Amino acid sequence: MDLNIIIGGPQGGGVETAGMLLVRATASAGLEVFGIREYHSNIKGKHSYFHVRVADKPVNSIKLPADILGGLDPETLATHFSEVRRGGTVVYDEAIKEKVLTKSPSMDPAKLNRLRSALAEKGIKDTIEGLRGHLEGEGVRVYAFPFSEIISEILKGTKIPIERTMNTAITSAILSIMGFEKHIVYEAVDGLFRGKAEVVEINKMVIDAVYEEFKVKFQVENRDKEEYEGDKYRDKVKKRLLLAGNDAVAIGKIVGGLRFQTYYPITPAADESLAIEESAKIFNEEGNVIGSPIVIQSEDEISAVGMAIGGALIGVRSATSTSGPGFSLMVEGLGWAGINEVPLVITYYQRGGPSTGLPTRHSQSDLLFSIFAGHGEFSRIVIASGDHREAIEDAVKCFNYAEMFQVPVIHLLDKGLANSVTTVPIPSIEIPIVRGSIVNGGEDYERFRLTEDGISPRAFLGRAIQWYTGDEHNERGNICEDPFVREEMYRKRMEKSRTILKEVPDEDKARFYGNEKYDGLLLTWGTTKGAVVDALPTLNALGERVSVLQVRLMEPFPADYISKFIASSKRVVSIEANYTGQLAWLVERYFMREVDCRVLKYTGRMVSEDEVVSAYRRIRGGERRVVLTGGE
Amino acid sequence: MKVCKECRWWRPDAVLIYVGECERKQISTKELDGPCEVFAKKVESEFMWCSDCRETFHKSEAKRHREHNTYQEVHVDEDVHEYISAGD
Ligand SMILES: [Zn+2]
Repeated sequence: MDLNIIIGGPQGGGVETAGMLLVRATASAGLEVFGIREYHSNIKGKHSYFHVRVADKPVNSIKLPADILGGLDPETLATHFSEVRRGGTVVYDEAIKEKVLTKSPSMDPAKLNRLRSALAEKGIKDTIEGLRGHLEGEGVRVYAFPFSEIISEILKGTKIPIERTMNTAITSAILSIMGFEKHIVYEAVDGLFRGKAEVVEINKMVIDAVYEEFKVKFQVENRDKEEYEGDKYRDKVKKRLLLAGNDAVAIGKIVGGLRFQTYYPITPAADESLAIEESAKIFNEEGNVIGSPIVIQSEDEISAVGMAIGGALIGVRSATSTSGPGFSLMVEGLGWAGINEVPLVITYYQRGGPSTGLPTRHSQSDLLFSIFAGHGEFSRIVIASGDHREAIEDAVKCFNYAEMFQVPVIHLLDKGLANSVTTVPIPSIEIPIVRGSIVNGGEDYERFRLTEDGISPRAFLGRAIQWYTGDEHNERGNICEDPFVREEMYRKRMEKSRTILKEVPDEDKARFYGNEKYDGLLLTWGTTKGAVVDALPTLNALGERVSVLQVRLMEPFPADYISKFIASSKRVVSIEANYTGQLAWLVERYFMREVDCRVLKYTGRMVSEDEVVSAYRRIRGGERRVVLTGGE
Repeated sequence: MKVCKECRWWRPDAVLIYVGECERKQISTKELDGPCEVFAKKVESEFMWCSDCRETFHKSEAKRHREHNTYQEVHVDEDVHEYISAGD
């Protein structure tokens, strides 16, 4: 099984719940799931959707065309109908059949124009019924089901509004069409509405009715079940985690010994702090809860980074979490941490910029910013995770590296990770906690002592007298502008980059996927890796040997390690979600060699597996710069 | 047609525009339900709701919504706590 399902509706109209029901139900049936939510910034009622991919093998990306489309409103059908494959399935409420497609209240004028041309071009009548005729002509099975009718029957005599369970109704219909048994939907409802008995009860009544009536009215059992094979997957539940990227980072931080987290609310980072605040507990060796990490919402990001620096100096593992606009404000603090060799961790979720840009959309356009932000020169680590599993482990490693090398560490992520939900094997995290060189201080303690390995033993604030300013300093930390001291201190800080490259293991520098013999090498990073790696079997079937190199350590840049992979490739192609090809730029800078082709996407939507395949086809056809625009 | 969507007591849901609430009967109905005994024609009031534009408008702006689906008021389900991600 490898199915792509889109369920959409007005933001705030139950799309999130519908998507999560779908994700939970299919995951509990033993399948692997990857789901991403696309939503507007702060505008209630705007079109939003959940794209869920369900497969019997691990998946880390979405793929178009979709097999099934569920619409909570006419706009969803108007927006996504052309993304449904021939022979796919579309489900919606019969009650909307007379609605006019181009009269969707929240549709952007640009989208409206595209819709008008599409309708004209395909000769589709501008109503849901008209669209139905077109879709059926394309071999799409259309189920216009009286959802609101059924729900209003069930809710008769109650004061519960019909719209409240519409999402459950459509999701149940989709799962029923796919052949999943009802108890799987029940389980999803139990999990999603835990502790709300009344809500669970009503939703189960709706599920019952939909399952029953769907069978009778459409006799879907044979046609669709055979194709979608949902009934094959049950009682095969392996224990796995179902989590969003924000949760993954939160788990990693907690396991990694986080004690102090600061943040100022910002999309798509804030959920991570909320998750830590809600669920993290610290146990002693006897297994008793002795407290929880402190999570503080500060007045702004300048304060957030300052407080996190303070926590790190006191000796607890401290982090702050933000996205582009917040990081912009943190840059001054980052430099302060640089000159003072503070083991600060900044978790950085990229979103569409510049300025407020596309706050809720995906982007990988801050790679160079995270590497170069700050005036003056200092060593830092920038490590980019490519999936949820990596995000958990990297969150632990970021603390280790920050303390081992006493440098600020930026954990670089993106919206695609933050807001995607996926099944992950329960990780047994066996990364030891390494706190680096720590001493108790004493009378002659010098915080910035020059040592052979360039790392000064660190005493926590309160254990020894130590001086911190933003100025250049001598070994004690006193302000000092002597040229020779300056040279020594400057060199000490800068040479850490060399030490880092020596000590960080290869698996944290880059990861290779595919056959060791290849002609084409796809360079990628962050969550774009998911689509590229998922596309690998198809790419190789096209007749050219292709492999993938996912770069993880972005600063200091592991040029030596990467050079081996690049050297044995006839064609190097970078794939990333920005305009310039920022990873490609880094590679070109280090190797004095042009990256042959760039595949780029900057629409704010994630790169999908099918786009990687079609882009590579175009590259083989001679294009050197391919810009992707898929997804709504 | 004396259906809900033509009635002054009916308020369409703010997001799912084809279902709504009857203010008189305090029940949830669909836009084409009816006819029923409390049906009454819409009246012009200072502020109306346009479900095509998904906004409240003042009667001075009525021209802009002439061909649109307009209602006395809108229904917002305050008990729906579906998580809506902030976008700032
Ligand atoms: Zn209007």
